[in-house]
Amino acid sequence: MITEKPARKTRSNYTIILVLLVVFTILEVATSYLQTGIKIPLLLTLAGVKACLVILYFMHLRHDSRLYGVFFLLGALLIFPFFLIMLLVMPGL
Amino acid sequence: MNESPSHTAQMSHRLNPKLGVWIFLGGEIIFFGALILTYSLLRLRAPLDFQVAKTHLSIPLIGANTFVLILSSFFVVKSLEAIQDGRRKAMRNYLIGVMVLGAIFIGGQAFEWITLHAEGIWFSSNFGTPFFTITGIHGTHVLVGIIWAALLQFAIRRGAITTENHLGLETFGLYWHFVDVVWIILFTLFYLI
Repeated sequence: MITEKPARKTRSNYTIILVLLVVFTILEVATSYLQTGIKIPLLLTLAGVKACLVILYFMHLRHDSRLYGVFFLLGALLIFPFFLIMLLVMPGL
Repeated sequence: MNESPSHTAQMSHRLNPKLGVWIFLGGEIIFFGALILTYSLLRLRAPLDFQVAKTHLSIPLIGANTFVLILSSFFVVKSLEAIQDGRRKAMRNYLIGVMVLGAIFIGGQAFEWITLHAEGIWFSSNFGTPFFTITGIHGTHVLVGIIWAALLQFAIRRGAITTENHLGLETFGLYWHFVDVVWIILFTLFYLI
C-alpha cells in the first residue's frame, strides 16, 4: 500500500543538500586531476553519493512510499547484469 | 460494487500519477543504462581515442553547467515548498528560474558541441558517436523539462496548481531531478574519468 507522510513533516533542509552537492562536485573535479589508482573508484563513489542525495531528498524517496523505490530500482536491477557481463567478457579487464 | 478498503487502496495505486512517473523513470534507467553500457564498451575497445578526445573537453565549462543543473533541481524543491506554504508567486518565480537555468544548461551544451565540431570532433569518431548521442538525448530531456515547466505556468495561471493539489508540480519535479541524476553520472563518466 502506498503510504506517504505529510509533506510538512518530511521536509528536508534543501539548502544543506544543495551545499553538499556543490562541495562533492568540486571534490570530483579536483579528484579528476589526481594520477592515482584510487581516482576512478573515488569518482564513482562521489557520483553515487550525489545521485543518492538527489533521489532520497530532492525526489523525497526517503519519506515516500517504498513502492516507488521498488519500481525505480527495478530498472537498475534489470540493466545491472549487462554491466557485469561486459566486465566479464571484455579482454584486459 | 466492491467498496472494501483494500479495493480502494488498489484503485488508488492505479490512479496514482506519481507511481506512473516512478515506473516511467525506472524505464528511463534501463534506457540510459543501455546507452552508458554502449559508451563503456566503445571506450574499452578504443581507450586511446577517448583519451585524446578528452583533452578537447572543458571541465571548468561543464563543471559550471553541472552546477547550473544542480541549482535548478534546488529551485524545483523550493517551488514545491513555496506552494505547500501557499506562496504562489514564489512558486512561479522558482519555476521561471528552473526554465532559465535549463536554458543556460542547453546553451552551455550547444557551445561545447560547436567548439568540439570546430576542433574536428563530431558524430563519426569513436568518441563522438556515444558522446554526442548520449549528451544529445540528455539535452532533449532537459528541453522537454523546460516545455513541461512552461505548460505548468499555464496550469498555475488557470489555478490548477494549488496548496491542496500540486501533484502536477510534484511529478514534474520527479522528472527534472531524474534528469539531474543522469547528468551527475554522465559528467563523471565523460569528463572526469
